[in-house]
Amino acid sequence: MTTHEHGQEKRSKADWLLFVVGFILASALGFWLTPTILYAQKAQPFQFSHKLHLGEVGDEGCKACHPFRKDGSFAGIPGVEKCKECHSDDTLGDKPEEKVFVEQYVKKGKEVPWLVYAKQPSCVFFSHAAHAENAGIECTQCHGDHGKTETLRTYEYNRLSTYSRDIWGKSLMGLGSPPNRMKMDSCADCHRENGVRDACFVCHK
Amino acid sequence: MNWDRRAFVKFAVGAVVGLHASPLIPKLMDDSAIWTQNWSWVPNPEDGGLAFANTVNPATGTGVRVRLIKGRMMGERIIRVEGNPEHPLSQGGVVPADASAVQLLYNDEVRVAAPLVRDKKTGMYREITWQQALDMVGGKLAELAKAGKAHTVVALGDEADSIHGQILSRFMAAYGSPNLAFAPRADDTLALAAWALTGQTDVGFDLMNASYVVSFGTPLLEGFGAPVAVRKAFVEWKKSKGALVQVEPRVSVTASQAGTFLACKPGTEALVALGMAAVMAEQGLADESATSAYGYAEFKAALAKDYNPKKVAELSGVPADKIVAVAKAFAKSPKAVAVCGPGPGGDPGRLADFMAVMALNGLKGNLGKPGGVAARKPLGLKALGEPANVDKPRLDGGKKGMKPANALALAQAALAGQPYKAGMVLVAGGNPAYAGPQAGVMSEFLSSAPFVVAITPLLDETAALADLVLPGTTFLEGWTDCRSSYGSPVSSYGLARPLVKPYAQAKTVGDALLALAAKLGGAVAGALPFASVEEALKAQTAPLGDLAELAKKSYFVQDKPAYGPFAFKTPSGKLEFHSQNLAALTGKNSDGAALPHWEKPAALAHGDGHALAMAAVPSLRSATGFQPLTPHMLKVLDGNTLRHKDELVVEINPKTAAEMHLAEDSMIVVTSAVGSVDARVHLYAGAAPGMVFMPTGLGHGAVSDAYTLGKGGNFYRVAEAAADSLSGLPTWGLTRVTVTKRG
Amino acid sequence: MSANKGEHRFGMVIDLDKCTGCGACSVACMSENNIGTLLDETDKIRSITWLRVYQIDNGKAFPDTQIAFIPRPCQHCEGSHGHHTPCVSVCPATATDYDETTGIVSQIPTRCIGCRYCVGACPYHARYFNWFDVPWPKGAERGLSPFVSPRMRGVVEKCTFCYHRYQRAKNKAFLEGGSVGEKDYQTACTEACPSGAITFGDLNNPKHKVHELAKNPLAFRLLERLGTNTKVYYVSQRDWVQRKLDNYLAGEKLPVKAAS
Repeated sequence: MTTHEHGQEKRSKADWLLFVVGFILASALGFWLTPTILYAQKAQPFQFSHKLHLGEVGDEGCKACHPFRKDGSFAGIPGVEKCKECHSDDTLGDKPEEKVFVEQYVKKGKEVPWLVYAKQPSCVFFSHAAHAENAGIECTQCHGDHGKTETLRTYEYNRLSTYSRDIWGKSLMGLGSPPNRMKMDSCADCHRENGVRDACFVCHK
Repeated sequence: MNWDRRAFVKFAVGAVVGLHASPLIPKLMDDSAIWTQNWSWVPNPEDGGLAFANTVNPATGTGVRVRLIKGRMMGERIIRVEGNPEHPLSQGGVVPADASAVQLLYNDEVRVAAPLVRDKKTGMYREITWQQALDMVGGKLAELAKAGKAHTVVALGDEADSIHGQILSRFMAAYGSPNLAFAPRADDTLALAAWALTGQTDVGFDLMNASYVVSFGTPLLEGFGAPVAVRKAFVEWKKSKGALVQVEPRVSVTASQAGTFLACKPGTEALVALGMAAVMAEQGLADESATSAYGYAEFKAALAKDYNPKKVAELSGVPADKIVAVAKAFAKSPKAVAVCGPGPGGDPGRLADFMAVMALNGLKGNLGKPGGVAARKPLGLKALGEPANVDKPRLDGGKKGMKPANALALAQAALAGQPYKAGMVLVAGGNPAYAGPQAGVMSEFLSSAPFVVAITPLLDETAALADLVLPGTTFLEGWTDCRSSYGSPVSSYGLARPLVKPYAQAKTVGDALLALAAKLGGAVAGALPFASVEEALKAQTAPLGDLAELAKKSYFVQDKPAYGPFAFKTPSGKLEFHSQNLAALTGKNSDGAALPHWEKPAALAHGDGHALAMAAVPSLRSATGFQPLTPHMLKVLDGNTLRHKDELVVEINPKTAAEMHLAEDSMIVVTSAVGSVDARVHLYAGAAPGMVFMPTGLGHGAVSDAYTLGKGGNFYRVAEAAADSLSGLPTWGLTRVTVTKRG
Repeated sequence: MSANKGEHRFGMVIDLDKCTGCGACSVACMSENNIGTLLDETDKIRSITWLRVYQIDNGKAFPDTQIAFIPRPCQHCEGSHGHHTPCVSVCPATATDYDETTGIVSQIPTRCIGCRYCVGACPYHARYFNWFDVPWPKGAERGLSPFVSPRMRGVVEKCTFCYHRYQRAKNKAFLEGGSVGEKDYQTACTEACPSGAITFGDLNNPKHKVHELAKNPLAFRLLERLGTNTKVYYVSQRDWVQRKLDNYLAGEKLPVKAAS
């Protein structure tokens, strides 16, 4: 009987090691597998340097190309019409991307099918005016230093929900920033912290 | 350490816990939840900059404002039609037909995208190019002209005054055919009635400033003139405690809102007007201007003899004391006006009835006075010019002049081949195969004609019978215009410009005709020296200023009615109760034929005991005439009309129904001399005994959209159109029907 | 009437004596809020009309019959004790809530689990369940508004007092400074009504027209005695209309209204 008891004791310790191994292996698999199976990647139509452009527009900053409309709504990504304020039928520089843009879009009168990193679903009403104008939050707080990037990162989207990966956040655990996580609970957390209403109709339509 | 069951379980549990500690499962659950909120087939409208543009809906005369969204990828699109608050007549209000107009613009299932040739054997459509289509029509027209049969071409339009109607008139005249008819309108009847008594043709009712309004069977609040403008006037009466008297056989919305409701027998509305006139004449309540009018003594004698309150009460069912009381109140009110107008179901009305009502206004002496009958100031537009005279007999035997052509008579004559058969039919607007007049005859006419061309934005009943369908436009995507609405005391002009690119290959009626004229060349091209409708409009509106500026504003409205002495343009130079104009037109001068009088409606002439009189239910919720019923309008039809899947519901008075052993929901067949329709009974206490009231706008067949397809029956298939004895226009206010049980 | 502690109490006053039942409000609402049409609209249980126009009559025989129309949007009940809004109090998913600052009862279709408890709880039949996906005809998506999210099958929807218009009006106010005025936030039905029968505004704001209109002694609310404390007031001079819109016993007198 004693040997049996002894064996049991000895074995339980090693078994718990197996538990830990199983735990580590499976969670590692989970961490590795999740983004692989969930996210698909798409390339932007062509490369674009925000850094270069931000340098050209001067003090106006982001709003030079991403302005508010007169009715207070946010214009988002500019159309080719806006780009044409500077880019005519001739290229301004010698970058191959600009040539692609001028040849394939400006001259053909086509819009660029940009993939939008921060696109929210249709049931969400996000007021840029309330955040950027009323609360004075910097663009970078949510969008990160997008303006300093020289290339566009690969657009990743969720195969199931079709949302951009930026909505959940780059980190699978919902940590890390910027760009900030843009899920409903992150909105609600910030609203609560700042004593702003978080009723349904504040952000939904 | 042994790899046994227990060890494996620990490892497995560890793995499961580990997997749960990883984001895989919560993330998958979250994403699955989101996945259920984002079905790919639920539309996700693209966001964009919002812009507004003013325009006008020619079908309703409402000044509207359009919301445009300019998205980055989808481009500019119209998301909404709403009221234009700046428009002086409609002041921001709309009716359902305005608010749902976008549904006719964006519906690929019912829009005609390209010219279509219909195979006569299979009924299938084949797409061709505009060039081929123009060659086809141009070829046929040239062939007929060469054979000396140009006059056998029949054209049907919707609005004579619109730019497209004018182009059509000039086209037909230059080509050499007198056979052109437009959709019959009450505007024509009112113009004739006013012309008969005053010599003026362009008149309206100053409802806004009237303190006492007597409406003779007109659906004032259910689709009269520009419905929104009338409603604005109605609110003003309410505020100023104005009185409204409604004379009609059904408790309509107008009757219900009126302070006094005089329930009369069907078709006797104008008789009540003459009864009131008799009271005024007899009691010396007629205005001085009336007693000195031409033929007053004769009229007074006729009133005393045939239209004294006792006699009128007997025939109309309105008690004599009520007629006397209303007549006195009308005569004594400082600003009173008697109103005649389109009957329910778009009926253009009977000229004798309109004359009776205008005579009552004459007796009141309200012509040219605030709150009375106003002569509208001319708009000052430069018309495209009087079309050339065609020296050929018209199918219906009519002559050019005041008497407008009757589409039904043209069709009937062509069907009979008397005096000749139609060589070709051109339908340029409207939907005669659905809305008639008398849809059965019009359909038969279109099916038997050798070659039918229809210019229409929608695949409707007329398109289904056409050999060639040309894609037309809606008012949101092409140039069009409209004149003063029926009954409006001020003249107005509405201009609609293309706000978005036309759908696929659609062209406006005018542009299609201009292209055809260019193809034909010769006199036709010479009569239409415009490259486009826009150019024709530029020429027409030159006196009002720049076209682009006017189009942006979208309307021109005379600021107030032209008050002051009424300019009589009669042979006697004054108001004429004995109308010399009418006598000249009809050739009848004796026996009171030229006096305002009442004729028993043909539908009531034969007194069959089982028969009932059928009339349409007027409603702004349903479509009237050829106007299509939009899906959203279908949704707001009242609960009774939509009670039974696919079935038409008609109103019958509970007592009448009981006499006929009918109950709520009874299945019946309503049969007239010209057609029949299956229906269900709704017992409506507000329906006059002995009558059947049928909603309009339903019973679409052919290739109409999936929502309206097969819903209910078509009123215009049952309504019998009779040519008015004086105006010659088809009228369908009342139809004699029998009701039998089925099932 | 309990006073809302919130800043605003958006509400409506509908003059039934001006309403002619033309349905413009209802159609304007549909085009504003992306409401679709089902293939069989005769089925009124499944038909969706956020603002429905009911027809009533006085029950008398011809020719004394009279009819009236009752436009019925969501009544945005405040409830009588602690915001006991009938639908909000039963929703297991918090897909609908009572917004304290505006007095608007919200509805978030994407959060709705489709149990339809709220549909049963609503005394006004103002809530609608999407039994089907809307069969939008091909091409109809071009006419849809981006300001209101189209719904899917399996969720409940209802009138929101065109809340998206308030959101947009606030955007403008943020940009220009200042606040949302009476004219800046009006519902689609209010604008569309050709008779001007509908007035919309903040019941709490003495500068808004509805503030006075709701105090009219002839103003009453639908099924007022249920204690739903709604924010849609109706006005009618006609005694029979008032009687039809609440539960009165035969011969019972209408409640005496305080003189304004």
